[in-house]
Amino acid sequence: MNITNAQYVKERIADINDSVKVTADGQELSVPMDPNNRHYAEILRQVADGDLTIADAD
Amino acid sequence: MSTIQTNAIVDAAGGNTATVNGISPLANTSRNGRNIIINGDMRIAQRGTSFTSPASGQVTCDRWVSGIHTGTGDGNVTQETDAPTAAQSGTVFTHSLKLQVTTANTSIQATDRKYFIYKLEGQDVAPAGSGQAGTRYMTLSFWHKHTKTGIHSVAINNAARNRSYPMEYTQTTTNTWEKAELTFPVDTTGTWPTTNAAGMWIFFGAAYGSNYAATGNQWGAGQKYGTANQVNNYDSTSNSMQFTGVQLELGSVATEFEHRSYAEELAACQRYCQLLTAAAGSASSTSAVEFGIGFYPEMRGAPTASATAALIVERHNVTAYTQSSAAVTIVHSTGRGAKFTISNFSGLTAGNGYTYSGYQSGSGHIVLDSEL
Repeated sequence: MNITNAQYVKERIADINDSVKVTADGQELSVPMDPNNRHYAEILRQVADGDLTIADAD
Repeated sequence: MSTIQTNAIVDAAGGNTATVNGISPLANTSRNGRNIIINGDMRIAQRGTSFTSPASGQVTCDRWVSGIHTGTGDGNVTQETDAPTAAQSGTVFTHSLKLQVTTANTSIQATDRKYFIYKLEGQDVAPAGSGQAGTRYMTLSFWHKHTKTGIHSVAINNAARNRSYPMEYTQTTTNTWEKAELTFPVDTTGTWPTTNAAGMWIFFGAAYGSNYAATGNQWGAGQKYGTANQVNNYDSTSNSMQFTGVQLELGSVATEFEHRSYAEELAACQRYCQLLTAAAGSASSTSAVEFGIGFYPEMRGAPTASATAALIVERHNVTAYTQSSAAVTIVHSTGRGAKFTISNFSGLTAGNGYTYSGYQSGSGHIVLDSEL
């Protein structure tokens, strides 16, 4: 999976990172930060491998 | 009261027409829920029916994942209405899943791998008792139609893909529907999750390099997708392969395919994919609308959200607003529901109510993905 443009999205009430916005194989996805989610698991794998960096939330 | 101890009750001719009080005992083909595979007859295709060069890991027909172009070679995947006839199968299938090769690979390299994958949720396959001592069996049956004749293979893997069991089947006549029935012993070692995580993967092979081939009909370590006898379905752009009627069940007998109603099959698929086509919310700014939704049926876990195209919201069924580009953000997500923000609008009034109407012509819709 080719993932680019990763950025955290904050949940405003708790003011914590709650999901990650990415472009995956050309499609924009909003991915919950749940390791049991296949896209987030792949994001974590690519971050661990040094292939992807997640930008801070706006 | 006396006790009868016997190994078999048969009719007077030694056959299987014996009755009890005039009633024929139910064959195990009458048990509901024996097919662990969801959408084994390929009827459900919520994401579409035609996929040009789908990315590795992309879901095609519901629950069926493509992995078709690691290494040279590519293909298109489609849901087809071609299926075994009633005369062939003794029942009626209406759809199949097809891979049509579009870029050939006549020299498969060691690391090449091309297949369909079906991933079973751990708690659905838990009754098999994988990883535990004892002798138990499962049986995989399916209809296949390959252009390439000869030996093909499938393989059972655990989710960690460090345990695998390759099996072979034969396509005897080119481009003809034929049935495979493969019984395998349940693995007595290895890690096999029994939660809502992936518990078992089944690979339906198109072509493998030597790194992924192993001896058939035995459990072994490693990530193996088939045997070395696997023919190369990718050696010509004239080649295709199709599957339908896929059934995985406990025991050593392949029973008739368990048909479920369309509603049952769709609901089972919606645990892993739902199309969100309407919701009511309010504008949090002049450019964004927020709303919350409960998921019915409950999804496997917190889903990924995406939009197929620019979304439309309406105000009092009078004014429609279309996103400048497709965007959806999911927060507070669980398998039971989530809060969404759809942005990239202009001209909204903060605080006003708006209706997201992704079902209408010209609007994209939101796809929720909780696949394994």
